[in-house]
Amino acid sequence: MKLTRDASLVWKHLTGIVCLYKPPRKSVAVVKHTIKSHLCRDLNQMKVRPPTPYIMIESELKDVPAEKTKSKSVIKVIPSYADNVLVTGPRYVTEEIRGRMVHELGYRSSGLLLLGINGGCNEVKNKTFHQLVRCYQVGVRLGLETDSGWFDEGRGKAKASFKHVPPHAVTTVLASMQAAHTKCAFDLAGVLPDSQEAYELALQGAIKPKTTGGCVIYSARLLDFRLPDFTIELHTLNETEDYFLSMVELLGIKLRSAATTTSIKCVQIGNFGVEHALSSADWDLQHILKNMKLCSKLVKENSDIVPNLDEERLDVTGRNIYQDKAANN
Amino acid sequence: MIPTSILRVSNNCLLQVNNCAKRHYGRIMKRFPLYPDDTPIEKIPEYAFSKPDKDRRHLFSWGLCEHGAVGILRQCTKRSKKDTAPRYLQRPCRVRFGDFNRVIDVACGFGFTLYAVSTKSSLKVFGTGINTDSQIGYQSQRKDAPMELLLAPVPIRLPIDPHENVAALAAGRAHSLILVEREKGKGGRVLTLGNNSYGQCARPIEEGEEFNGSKMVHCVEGLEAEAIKSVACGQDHSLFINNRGHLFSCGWGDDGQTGLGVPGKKGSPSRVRGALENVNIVKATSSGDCNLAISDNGALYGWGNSEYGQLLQDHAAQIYSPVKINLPGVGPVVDIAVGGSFCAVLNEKGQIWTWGFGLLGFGPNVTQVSRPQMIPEALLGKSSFAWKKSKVVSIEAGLFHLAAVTADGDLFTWGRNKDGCLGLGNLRDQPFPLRVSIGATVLKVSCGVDHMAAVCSPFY
Repeated sequence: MKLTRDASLVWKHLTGIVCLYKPPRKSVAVVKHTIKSHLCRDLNQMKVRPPTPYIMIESELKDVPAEKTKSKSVIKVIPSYADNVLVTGPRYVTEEIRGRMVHELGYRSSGLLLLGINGGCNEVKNKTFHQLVRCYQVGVRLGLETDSGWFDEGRGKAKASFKHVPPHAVTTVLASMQAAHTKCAFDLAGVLPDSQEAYELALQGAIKPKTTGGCVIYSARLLDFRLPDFTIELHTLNETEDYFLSMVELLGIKLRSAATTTSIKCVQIGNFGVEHALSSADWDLQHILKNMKLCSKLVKENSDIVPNLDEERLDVTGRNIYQDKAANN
Repeated sequence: MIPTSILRVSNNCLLQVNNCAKRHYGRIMKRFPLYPDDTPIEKIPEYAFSKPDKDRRHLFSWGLCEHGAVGILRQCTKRSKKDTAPRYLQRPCRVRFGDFNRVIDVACGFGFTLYAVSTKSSLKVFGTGINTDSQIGYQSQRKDAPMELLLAPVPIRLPIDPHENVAALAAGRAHSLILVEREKGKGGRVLTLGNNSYGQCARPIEEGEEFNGSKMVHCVEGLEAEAIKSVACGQDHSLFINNRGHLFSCGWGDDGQTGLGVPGKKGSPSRVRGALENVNIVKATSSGDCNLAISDNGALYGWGNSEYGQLLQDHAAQIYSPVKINLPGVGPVVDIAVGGSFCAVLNEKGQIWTWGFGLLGFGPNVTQVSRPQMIPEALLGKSSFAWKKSKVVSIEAGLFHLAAVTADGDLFTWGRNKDGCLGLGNLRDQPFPLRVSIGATVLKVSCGVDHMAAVCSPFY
């Protein structure tokens, strides 16, 4: 590692993938622009390329041009005014920095974003990035249904009682959703379910979609249950914020209540986690360069993260959910 | 002031619209909102859905509609005279009969279905489908005009006391067995009806007996002075297990399916010996001419047709007396399912082992397996993301296909897709297990030849 004030040297190394933590209520386009403008701001404050030298030939006599007199000429080299930063504008502008997101988060969602910068854009086009399973934690609140899907936005559509909902009801509905999606995954992967190809894909476990058609949920489980709120953890691909909002609405109906979303957080993309992400306070050149180095290491170990499901399925009070279900049946 | 009862109804409509109507209602609700813009949330009335009832059951059915065995009248009736194409329900459909009657058990035969209903009246068994041999009882609308085809469930008049329960149902090609218990779990008597040309109804064969429009219901009170705890039907034979774990059979035996040591018809239940001599049999099953039985310690026995190597006895096409089948590496067997040309067993760990001929679950390239082979668990929902605790708890088979139910209530089907009986949404054969999309937790499923029925409980 080398310390430098030279912006052009830094620019050469400003290429790769960076892992950001997007705050809620900021669009992804604004995030991208903020990163670019912070990078430019920091680069322009460093030692940038000096103006190109301009060769001036002057005669000793001030009012006579050099070619019209036979007296001595003086050659002067001055920095060119045409190349002065105050004339041309800053050396580094946002339009020159290329950025490309792996996936998008909605306006009110927060969480991990993978952004490829300059050369990293080509890396990001790689299909393996798009097939890294993403983990979301969705907060759900029972009791009210709104037309927007968020708990504090839009008009209240309906209210329903919720005190009767037990945790095992949520886990049952989620398990069924998860199982139903494994079947849809065949269509999105472009194979007929009765072919040998489909059989081999199915043996491998999780089937990755080839198109950006529909969302595929690989795992859906209940994390925290404290009425009227509960949190579910979803491992998905091809998801959108709208999909989660309508899924939560449907979940509310299946639970004989009404539900809205309180939060959507992307907490993992493949083996990129929250611990690798840059918070918005650290969106500057130094931190981004450090993060790029970290991400390049993670990219080499590029793999799907598989949740540790060996532990018992316990609900909030510590009881085994399966035992509870057996007792209720 | 709008009465709250009307508001509650409106809320109900609001929440239960389907997807196509949602957009239409969305536009209407925007123009005519239920509550004005400035209504605070506190003023919106709170709706309380009906209380969840863990005893509520949903009934789903799918497959060929032509013979009415699915029991959904709307699907089975022709729209017009020109509508001659056969109709298949390729996806599970809710049977409304199950919403108005508490269906506790279902059995699918060859083109007909039996439903056991929990009720205080004596009409505890209903049936639908083909009735050419009175397998669903005597049904008629006019005097002396028995109906040969029922397109919706109808009650079967049986000599059952209102305080008795129907413990089990079994349906074969053209006959039905109903196990009726006085006390739960103590075993009881079996009522048989339908075709008796091979003696499968456990009564003596009468030459020239007319089964169409027959009101005959035979009762088997007990076997060897013990009550009967379990019944099963093959194609044209019947199997009974009494409280002591002894197996009895009657019916057609030319392929050895009665297991009585000799071929031929048998018109009264006789004790099946052979390798079952001193064994406590827990379950026996058959759908064609091959039979399997398991003992209480998980040992497997088989007899009957073995033309496709279903009984793992080399070169024997028919086995007339039960033999013990060794399954190396499988362990104690918990459930069994027999198809026409294949067999499947489920062991304690929830693994399914199949062998025989057909689409056994190993992809389209494998159609014959001579030694038991395990179906990869990843195909039955155990992928890296799935809950490791969820395992298969029961398996069923029709003549050409197989079904498995997991502890989570997922139903997987695979095999030859005869008339859409797999319920996967198309008419293509499915060479490995695929989950059937049913919006409920499947408790019990029954496989017929070209249709299936499932008793489910709602998610919550």
